[in-house]
Amino acid sequence: MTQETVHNEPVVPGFDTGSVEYGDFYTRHFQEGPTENTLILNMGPQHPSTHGVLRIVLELEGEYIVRSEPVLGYIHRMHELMGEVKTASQYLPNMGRVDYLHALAWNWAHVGAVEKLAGIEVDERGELIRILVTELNRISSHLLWWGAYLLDLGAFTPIMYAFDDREEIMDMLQICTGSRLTYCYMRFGGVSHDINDEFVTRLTDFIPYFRKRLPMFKALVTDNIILRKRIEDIGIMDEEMCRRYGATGPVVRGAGVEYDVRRAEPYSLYPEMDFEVPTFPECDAMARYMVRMAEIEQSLKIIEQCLERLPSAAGKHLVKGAPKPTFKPPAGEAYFAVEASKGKVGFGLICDGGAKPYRVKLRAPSFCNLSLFSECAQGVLLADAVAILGSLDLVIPEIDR
Amino acid sequence: MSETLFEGLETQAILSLDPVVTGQVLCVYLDKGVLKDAVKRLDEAGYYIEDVMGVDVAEGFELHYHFCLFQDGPTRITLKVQVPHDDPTVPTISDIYPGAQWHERETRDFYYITFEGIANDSPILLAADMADAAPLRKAEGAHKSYLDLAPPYEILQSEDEHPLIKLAADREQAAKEAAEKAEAERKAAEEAAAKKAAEEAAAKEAEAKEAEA
Repeated sequence: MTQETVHNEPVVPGFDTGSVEYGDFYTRHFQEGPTENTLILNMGPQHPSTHGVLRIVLELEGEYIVRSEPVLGYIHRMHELMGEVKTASQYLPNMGRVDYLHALAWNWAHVGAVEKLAGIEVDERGELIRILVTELNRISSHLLWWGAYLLDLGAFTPIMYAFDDREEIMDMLQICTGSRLTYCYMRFGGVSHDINDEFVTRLTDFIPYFRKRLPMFKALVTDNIILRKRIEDIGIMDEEMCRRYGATGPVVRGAGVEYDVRRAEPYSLYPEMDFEVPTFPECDAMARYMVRMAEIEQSLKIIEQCLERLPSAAGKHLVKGAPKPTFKPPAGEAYFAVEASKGKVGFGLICDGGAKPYRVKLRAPSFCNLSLFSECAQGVLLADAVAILGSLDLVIPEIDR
Repeated sequence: MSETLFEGLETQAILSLDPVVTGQVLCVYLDKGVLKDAVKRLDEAGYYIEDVMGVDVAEGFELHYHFCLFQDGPTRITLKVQVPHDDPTVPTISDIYPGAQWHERETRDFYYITFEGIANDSPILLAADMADAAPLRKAEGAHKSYLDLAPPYEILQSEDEHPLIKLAADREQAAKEAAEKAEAERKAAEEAAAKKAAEEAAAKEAEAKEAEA
């Protein structure tokens, strides 16, 4: 059955393609029948505000959305199958390509699940470096979201400022990880390389500089009346809705729920870190915006604590006796979650004692967060749909996996 | 407490798990007939849906439903439902948790499992003409029993003669034997060391006597 996949007609139970000639499978599937007043519109897969290849089929009445349905899978890569045909170590580079904007969180989800299953402990130094780079990566992810979101909404200038600072972060992360975007830095038992003085010096200089930029961002954009009119009271997602759809991260914190995996299911040295979980109770796109802006400041705070502790941290960046590439995780089942910039990243791992895992499950926060879009977008203006989509901070490779 | 959630339901087994080792607190094996009742209880208790995943094991397809609470502390509950390979159908829970629909469609793409009653069952990640590709189905001979993949657990309640009871007893026996073996080895090593030390002391004494003479 697995190989016989070539069909002339789409084979989907309960769906009769009939003799309809226009649109593709998804448009036809979406369309209930001809109506007098509504229009079926495809937004994407090539659309500036869908950031890559997300497609949404919309039924419009005038400028208002009657129904909508996201169509996914344009860059589906079957990461979960790759997890079963590669060894645990060979699978490491895949993680940087799931969410390329917060690659280190996915790195961590993978190594964390394997470490849980195999009972590997990481030295204090290794843990601190992990926290440091992951938080730095979180800032760069939020900066890109900030610039791109405002670009979606028609403001061109902010992305220039955002990319200016993001560039410096990428340069710094390149020093320790060796790559600019699709990081593969973490290893079972720590990280691949220790950080060096150049990285520490540049980071120490960057923090006060960047702190001074934040009020400027606020004055330039956050307090801007045009932005506020555009995203306040738009895209209401309350706690109950987040619960039914499994939305996490800034979406649920923008609904006033203090839920952060770093606090809820503490991992690494996060319990020893002093930081707040910012929440905003308004449930709208503005609340999600405010959560992310506040999180940037909290990440800076965590980074400073790491820098302070690193000189006296015990152990090495990679624990002594860390697994070799030929390592076989023991049989069993483990689920490990981390807080990424988009929300809760979950890594489900089932091993049978062989070199290759029996099953790998990737829980992508963008996938769950996007699933509530159809309900949320019902009855809103088409232009507001862009504001809602952007406020979810979607990364398409993560949705499609 | 989370284990009282399922009181009065006909569950096959309820296992308590160590969150440090497995990331879960509770694992409930169910027949697909009581799945919806169990999910309704979780819904009433305020759990949110985390994800749905399939696993292809020797006994059939095993579906894992993960639920968590929006609160601090480990809260993950896993519901597990097994369906046979020749009849892979299971009722949808997307009428209770609308967020489950996409996860179910994804599982359908990967395993070609039918979710009965799902409002939209078009492929979500695979192409429209790959609806029955089932890329994650294991090849013939590559299947493992779910018992070989089970994490360490403690049975809170179960049906009589559930295979998990025997597995737990076997594991306990194996652990006991391993501990006994390790203890015996430790004792043997200790004895050998003591013997060696005694021999060395005797040799030294002899040397000292010789020197005296």
